[in-house]
Amino acid sequence: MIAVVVLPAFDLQAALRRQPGLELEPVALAPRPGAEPLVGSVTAAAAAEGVRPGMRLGEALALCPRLRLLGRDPALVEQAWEALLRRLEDAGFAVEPVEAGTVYFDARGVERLYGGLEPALERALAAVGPAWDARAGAAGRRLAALAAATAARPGQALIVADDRVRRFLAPLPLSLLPLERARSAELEALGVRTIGQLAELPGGAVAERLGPDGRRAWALARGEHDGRVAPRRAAEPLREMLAFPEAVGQELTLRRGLGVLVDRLLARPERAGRPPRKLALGARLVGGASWRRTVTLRTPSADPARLRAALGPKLAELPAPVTELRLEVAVLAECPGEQLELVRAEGEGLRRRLQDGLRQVRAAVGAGGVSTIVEVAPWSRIPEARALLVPRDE
Amino acid sequence: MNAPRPALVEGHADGTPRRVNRRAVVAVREEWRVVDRWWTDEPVDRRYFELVLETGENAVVYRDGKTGGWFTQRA
Repeated sequence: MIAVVVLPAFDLQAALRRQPGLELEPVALAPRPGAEPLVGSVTAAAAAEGVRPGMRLGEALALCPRLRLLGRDPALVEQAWEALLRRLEDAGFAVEPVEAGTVYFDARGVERLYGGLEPALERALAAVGPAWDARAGAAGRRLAALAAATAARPGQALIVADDRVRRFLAPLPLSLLPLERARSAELEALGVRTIGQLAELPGGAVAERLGPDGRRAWALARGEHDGRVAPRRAAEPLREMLAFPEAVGQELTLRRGLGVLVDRLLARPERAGRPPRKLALGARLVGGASWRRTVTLRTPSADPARLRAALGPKLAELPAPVTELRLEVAVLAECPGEQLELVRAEGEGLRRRLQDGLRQVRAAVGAGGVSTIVEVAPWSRIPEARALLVPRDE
Repeated sequence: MNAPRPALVEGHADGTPRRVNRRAVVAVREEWRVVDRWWTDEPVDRRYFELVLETGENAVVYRDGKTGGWFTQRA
């Protein structure tokens, strides 16, 4: 069984914690700076006035003139999300976070630990705590588990048995499927509004009209297999922070600050000689907003000059003066270093370098970013039936 | 893997492609039919063409016998 815990509008809930008392007011997350003016998650009071996430700001304000906009705080969201993931991991769940607010885990192992699926889901909800309106779902398929969690009430766990999956999914809206907004709108214009209605359509017609994404959504709607859970490796808590007495906007000063953070981070004994592979540079901006950028190194390195060279250009992207600069190791390499080669690498050496490259890709794009081609029917006259793309986790 | 992608194809009266994704066809190198899985809910009935386009690139397209839609695919 695949289980999922969903914390709706997590980014907004995290931002509201910084400004308590607004939970019952009509509040929406402000549009991303430099992006289309679309509002983010909204409170129940805003939703009651007709404001929806992803709505144009002008339309939202026209519908609800007393709508309050809350600045996005990606650093706070990431911090709160990481704390929740750690609480779940401490309770024995091998988690696969998809986005802030949605986390999958394979329930098979923990069922035995907690004496059944339902107690395991209750334990997961208890680990998250009551403050986030968390809900859990479990089913044999990822989509069905997600749909169950979405349909559950706060604090509730809903389990969908395998033989009920299609019946359970049938009346649910298309928004649960991984389809682009334009594709969903196209289907809705054709009168297809639920997952059940999509599943009833002939697969060829869906593929022709909507392409491969539509075909995949159609297969999911029919309850077909949609992948295993790929648990993350617990991140190392390696973080350094520098607070400035007053806001700093000068790049030279910021670069010096970055140099200090790099030196401090490399001096941490928890690193055990392993070089960083992926780093996150964050800042608290004047006015309270936050900023964050990640950098994946081509080759893991513990050379301070190389780290400064990789991270330095990011400082130019800061939109405002900063009051606090943070540097964090997101992923550490697994080996302390590599011996220089005297002879050309062959066989094992080349394989090791390939593994290293794959680890770099995984660090950059996350689990599932690397796949391998498996020939299943090379003799088939149907080209797409000859080989499958299978996620390669190790 | 290697899933077919919808293509914009204009055809001649005999069913051979004239333009693929707004590029003219200069030669039809090969043509073949695939009829398979007729015993399942999703039978396959395709007429494949291997083409040379005006840009010099080779392309493989097929017409789905059931829906009449055109697709490109690496064969």
